[in-house]
Amino acid sequence: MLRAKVTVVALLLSALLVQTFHEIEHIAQFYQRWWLGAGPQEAHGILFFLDVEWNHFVFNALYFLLLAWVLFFLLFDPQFQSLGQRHIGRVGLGFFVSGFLIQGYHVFEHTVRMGQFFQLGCTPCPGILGWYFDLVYLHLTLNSATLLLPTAILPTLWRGLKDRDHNYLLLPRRPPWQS
Amino acid sequence: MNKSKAALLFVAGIALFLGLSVGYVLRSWWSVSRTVKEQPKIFGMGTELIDKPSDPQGVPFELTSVFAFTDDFFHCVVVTNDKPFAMKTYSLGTVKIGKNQFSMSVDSVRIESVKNTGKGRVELKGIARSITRVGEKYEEAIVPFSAVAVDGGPGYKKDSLVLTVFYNQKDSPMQFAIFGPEPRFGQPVNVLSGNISVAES
Repeated sequence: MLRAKVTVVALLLSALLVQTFHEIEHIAQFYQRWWLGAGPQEAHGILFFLDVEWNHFVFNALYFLLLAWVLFFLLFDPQFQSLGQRHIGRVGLGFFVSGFLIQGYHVFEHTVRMGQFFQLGCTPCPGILGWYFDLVYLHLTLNSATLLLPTAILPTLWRGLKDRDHNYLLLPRRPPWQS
Repeated sequence: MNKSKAALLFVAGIALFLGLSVGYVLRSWWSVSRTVKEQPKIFGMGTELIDKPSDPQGVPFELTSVFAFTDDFFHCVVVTNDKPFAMKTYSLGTVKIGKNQFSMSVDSVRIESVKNTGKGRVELKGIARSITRVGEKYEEAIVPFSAVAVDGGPGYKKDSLVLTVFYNQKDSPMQFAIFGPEPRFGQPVNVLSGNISVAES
């Protein structure tokens, strides 16, 4: 039972760790744009040579896949059936699903941007919302949302992992007095 | 709906979404790479920076041109000057040019040779019609030219185009007096928009 939980927590922590590095790059871009006054085409973060459309697309697609993997466990693994029965679990799951859906849209944005990259040769490309909002602020918002919202599930998972006897996450399939 | 069916639908939905997304990207990449194969071996179009003269207040401004070329055509034109400026000429001293009083066009009459002179680098040589207007003065002449285009990769940022026109006192006295015998127009990495594509031979 513990194995599935460890897998989910490990998956989620890995995803969040990598997304944190990604977020640092977007914060650096925000600093360059907002504080240093760089244009949207000039704010390329710290590792500027990695600020290319291919890199963002592949990274976001993989992050989406990791979140989907975690969500699959949370929704369909019998060990997590009780997740929706507790308030903290429901809230955490709600935030996680919101983050997952936003990341889905984020991948869609980067897919459109890849099309624009091939057709127009732009880097960075505007995508869809980039025509209406500043690209640096927009992607900082999207990345922050997809980093912070899934984090809300961590306390529930952590308590479930820590407390094996009195499990906040995993209610036993049968109550103890019946076994 | 039972759990296993819902799980299957979830996995199918994710696979479909990511499949469509990756498929679209690969299709775009494939169509662009196929288009590149069908294009002429060299082509370029866009705008480039010719010079940055200063206006009477000493503020530099961009004197730009529009260009287009393939392996059998070349055209580069400076439509006008947005601001007045002073230009050092070959034999007329420094000439003051008023706003919208300068224009120039070099278009090929024929291309005589196209040579790859390095990776992503090509030199066109041929004969061109060179037209220059400064204020009321105008001259049209048929003269030799050469153009060196560099394809620095996707987009225009590392591309450059440098045009050399060979004037002489007999065929093009006014342009010879203004620009000299072998003026070069453009500088390295001077393309402002568009693209230059040089296929590997």
